Amino acid sequence: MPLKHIAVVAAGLSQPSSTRLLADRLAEATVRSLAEHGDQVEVTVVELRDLAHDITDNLLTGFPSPALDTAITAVTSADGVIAVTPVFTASYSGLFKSFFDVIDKDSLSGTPVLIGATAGTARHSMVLDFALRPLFSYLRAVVAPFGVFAASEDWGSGDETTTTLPDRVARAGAQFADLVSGHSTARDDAFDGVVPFEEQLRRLSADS
Amino acid sequence: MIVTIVAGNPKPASRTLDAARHVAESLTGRAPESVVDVVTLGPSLLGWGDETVKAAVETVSGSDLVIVASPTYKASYTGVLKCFLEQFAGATGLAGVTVVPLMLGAGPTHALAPELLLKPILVELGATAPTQGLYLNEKTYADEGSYETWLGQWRDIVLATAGLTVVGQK
Repeated sequence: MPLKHIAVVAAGLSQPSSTRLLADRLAEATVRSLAEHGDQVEVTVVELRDLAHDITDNLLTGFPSPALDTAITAVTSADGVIAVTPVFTASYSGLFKSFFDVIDKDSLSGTPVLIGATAGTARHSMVLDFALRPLFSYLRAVVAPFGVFAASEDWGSGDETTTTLPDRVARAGAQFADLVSGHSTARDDAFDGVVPFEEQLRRLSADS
Repeated sequence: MIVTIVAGNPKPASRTLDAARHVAESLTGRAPESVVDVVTLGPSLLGWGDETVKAAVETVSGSDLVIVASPTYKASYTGVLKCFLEQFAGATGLAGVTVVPLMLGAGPTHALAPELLLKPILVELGATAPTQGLYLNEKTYADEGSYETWLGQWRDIVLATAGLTVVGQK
């Protein structure tokens, strides 16, 4: 059975946090769906709260601490990343952004990413498409079309106008699992597109 | 009129800070009264209730005009700047403050970032943001006339908006 590595990045501050709760639910749904594909899964959770000082130090010095380095490697080498942030001031948290500020801009290229966010009110539902999706688009990640936003009231039974949170989590996990299942961790070789010098010479002589 | 510049570059005394100073001086004809170089607040930014951070927040929220500047990191404002903005009271933390969202980058590709990404955060905090977000090249912002068009279009409007703020009603 192929082994898939899933990294979960959770930027919640409180303990326990609804952000971590949503991240765990998304991870569980993903693992379930991947099992249906016949994939074994190893999940690594990165709680940014524990790395906050390491992240700011890295921004200043340009070098990660061993703990942060381990977390960055877990995320950048994963077959899929689940990234969940609380909504602060209408966007991702500063800590969440700082973590992605320190990783290399090419390190998530082609990696499937499932985005999630939690907030006190449904007023911030657009945050997934207005803040998180553009960030991961810039990193050239494959952002799953189905992201999950959870407002405080979603943790109850939900209302009649929206599908329930468990239903959305299950659908997001299933779609993300499809992306991860078909994904290879092999990164593009920077020299793949380079035409060897001999070949360039041959083409030149063929032209003339 | 109290003018403050805020720079959210992980490096202290950055070009971001210098550019913010330039914009403040171009708008008002004098040096800003206060400077908040966010990164110098250090790890206290990660928590809540630190006195130095609180003083910086009060300086900004008590200003009439604030230039809020960030370099472009991963196509957006920095996490460092965002950490600072999270220290303000939601919806009202920048009420009565006229702001100019400013971002710097190496080329024109992210020119809409201050308008699309930074301005909504400031507006969410209650700021008055009368101008188009300003995006400057990190190498040429100090050149004469590098943002002449923007200045011509917005200078009077910024000054009028900031000047009309009634002191003592914040």
